[in-house]
Amino acid sequence: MKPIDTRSQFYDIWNVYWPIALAVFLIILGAIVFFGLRYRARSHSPEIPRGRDENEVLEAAYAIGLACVAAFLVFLTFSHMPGSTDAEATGKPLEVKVTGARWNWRFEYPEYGVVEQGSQDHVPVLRVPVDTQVDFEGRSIDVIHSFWIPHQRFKRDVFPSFPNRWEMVFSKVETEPGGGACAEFCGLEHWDMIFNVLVMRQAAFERWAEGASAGAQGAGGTAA
Amino acid sequence: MSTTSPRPAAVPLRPPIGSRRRATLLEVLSSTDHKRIGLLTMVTAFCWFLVGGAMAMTMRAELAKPGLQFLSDHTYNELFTMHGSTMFYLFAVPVVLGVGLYFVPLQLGAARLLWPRLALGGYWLTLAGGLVMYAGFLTKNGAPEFGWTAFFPLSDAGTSPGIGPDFWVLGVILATLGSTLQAVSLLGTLVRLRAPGMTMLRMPLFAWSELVTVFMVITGFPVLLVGMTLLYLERQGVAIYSSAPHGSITYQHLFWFYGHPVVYIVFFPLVGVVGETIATLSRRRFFGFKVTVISLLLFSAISMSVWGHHMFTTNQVSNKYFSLTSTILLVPAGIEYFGFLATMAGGRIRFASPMLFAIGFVLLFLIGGLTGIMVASPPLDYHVHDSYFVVAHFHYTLFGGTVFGLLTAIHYWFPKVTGRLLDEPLAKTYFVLIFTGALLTFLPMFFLGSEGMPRRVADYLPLHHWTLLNTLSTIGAFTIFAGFLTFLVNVMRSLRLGVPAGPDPWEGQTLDWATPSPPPRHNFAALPPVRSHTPLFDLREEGRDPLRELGLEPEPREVPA
Repeated sequence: MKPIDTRSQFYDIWNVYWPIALAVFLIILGAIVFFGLRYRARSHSPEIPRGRDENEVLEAAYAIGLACVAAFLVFLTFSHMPGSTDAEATGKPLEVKVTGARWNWRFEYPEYGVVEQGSQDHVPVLRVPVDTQVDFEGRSIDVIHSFWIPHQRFKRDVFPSFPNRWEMVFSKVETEPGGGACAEFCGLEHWDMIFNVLVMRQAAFERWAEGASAGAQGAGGTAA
Repeated sequence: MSTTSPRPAAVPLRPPIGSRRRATLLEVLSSTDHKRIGLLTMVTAFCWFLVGGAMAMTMRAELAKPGLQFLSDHTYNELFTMHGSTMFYLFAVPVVLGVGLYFVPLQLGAARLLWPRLALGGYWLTLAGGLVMYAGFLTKNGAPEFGWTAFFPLSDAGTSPGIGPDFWVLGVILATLGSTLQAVSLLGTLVRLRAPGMTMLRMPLFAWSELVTVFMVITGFPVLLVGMTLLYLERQGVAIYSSAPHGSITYQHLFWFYGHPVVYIVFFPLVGVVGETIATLSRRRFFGFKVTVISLLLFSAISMSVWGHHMFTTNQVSNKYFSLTSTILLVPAGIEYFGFLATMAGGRIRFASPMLFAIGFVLLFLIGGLTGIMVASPPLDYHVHDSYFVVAHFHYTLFGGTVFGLLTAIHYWFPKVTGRLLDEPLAKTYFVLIFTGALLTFLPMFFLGSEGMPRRVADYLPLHHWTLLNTLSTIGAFTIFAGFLTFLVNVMRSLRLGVPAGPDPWEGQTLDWATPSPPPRHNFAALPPVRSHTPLFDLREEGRDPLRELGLEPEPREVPA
């Protein structure tokens, strides 16, 4: 069973929500324009129009209708929110430890002993294999940051004093590094706290990870 | 029967009644007259709005193009922090309470506020809070740079050092305490000082909307006072939030338990104003009054259980619970909208300036409301949270709701407060400017946010077509700015040269129109019988002239066609 990636989860809901929102907006706009033209005062007569100002049956029916809309939206949302980790994903999930720090990111692959760290003049790259569940464990070393990958339509806050865990699946190979950013305001260079995302074929990812791992060990880096 | 015009320009009227002697500043600042306290609160809040607006203009100018042109990131961060803080703590909350302090006693047929000194003291505290908060700019490290939310640990003494942030915390405490006291005075007035015959369900819509607002203030504000006091202690070295791993989450709970109700607090009273404006200018009673009152109560009750939707991306709250409570709000909100539209249907609508701003409110707030239902769905919020999408969303609720609601209130009640009418052609001009400006400024932000631009950024990469969207947004902001300049011209001009309004220029339905404009010190010489929430309208419906019966208009009205 393939886990659902956050991007398609987003669009499954979004594609229902936005047409409803647009329709409601247009209906209300249309009603205002129509009533405005139809019931515009054409003379200065102080005559008071006759008409009901209460219709409890209509209002109750309308309220029930609204409640049904709310129930539908809540049902749609809940049906796209898995209750717990989807353990049946393809293969073994990849573990990545994310650390946010003012104002950079570090990605750690404990299985390979590889660390990718950003610096003043290096935008860090998050490399992940396609169609594989990635289990993230996020932390911060100072204030709250938020790990956001707009293309995946997902973000998660990371905190200094406890770890946050989440899963993602990247379902499209990206050859050009695309953007990730910090979404939670964290101080002076918050706007520049970005990272790149590279979604690789599984074999290419393995090659990169093995190579980086060997390089790290050869250079006397931390072993896995 | 005489005829009337929506703009009774040529009606011979007495000059506005008021004290012959100009009140001294001390008298203005120490009066226990609810009208002076209310006006003082509103005018002060509006001055803060201009300050906060100037900051917004500065930020929009900087963001027009990528790259840092004339602001440093340090200054930018100070500006957005103080923009948000000013707009919430010093403008929006005080102004909706100020409108209540002025007009609730008038709508209730009361001569005064209950506990006016509490309300006056509240004004002083809020003013002091604002001055203390702004004193941060004079300190070495400047004003704080942690947003109006001051999340912990960004706001701790190590990360945000200096006395400026301390001033900010104290300022928030003072301002919020002041607003709470004003709300208590309003609550007492609403419960104790209603005119003979005015049962709870005969209170006008605006009075009801202030009552439910006061409930939310009294429930939510003390929690912020506690949260901020603890933050102050934490900054002085007492381990409070830092004493446990989830202290930063505790701070967010305390903050948003205040912070979500507050966004309803700053627009609820204006729902009442807009409802009454639409009813009055459509010459109808507000449609479904009782159901609307119930929906306001329901809305305020649920609003105390939705704060966690600000914390979906923390993964530390029950996302499904808060998604459910937040989405359910569409039911009472939908009922209120039904009332707006059904009141227009079958009416005789006069498109005077208050009506235009009311329609602006209905349309712009609708954008905020509909996108609000979207962000109540956690999988959608996981993407748009803390992005420019959310900035657009809440500006449609706050600018579309609070500011357009306030402009409705100003155009509806300016004749009551000053005795003079605002100039209508000028009002229509800046209605167009501010309304189109609001669309042009905030609509591009939805796209920027969806494409990945985070909020609270001094700069952005020259990617995609972000530059174009940001430039459009800046042009929109300056359109709004031009609109407000025109508005100020109209207010200044009409204060001196405006056409005398008479007691009731719109043929109002509620008791605030059953007194001269401006109302005398004790408000009413006589009151009509109160048999519903629209006492003046009841008399007109019976073919009687309430003003003549109350001895307010000796001359029969003569009106040009």
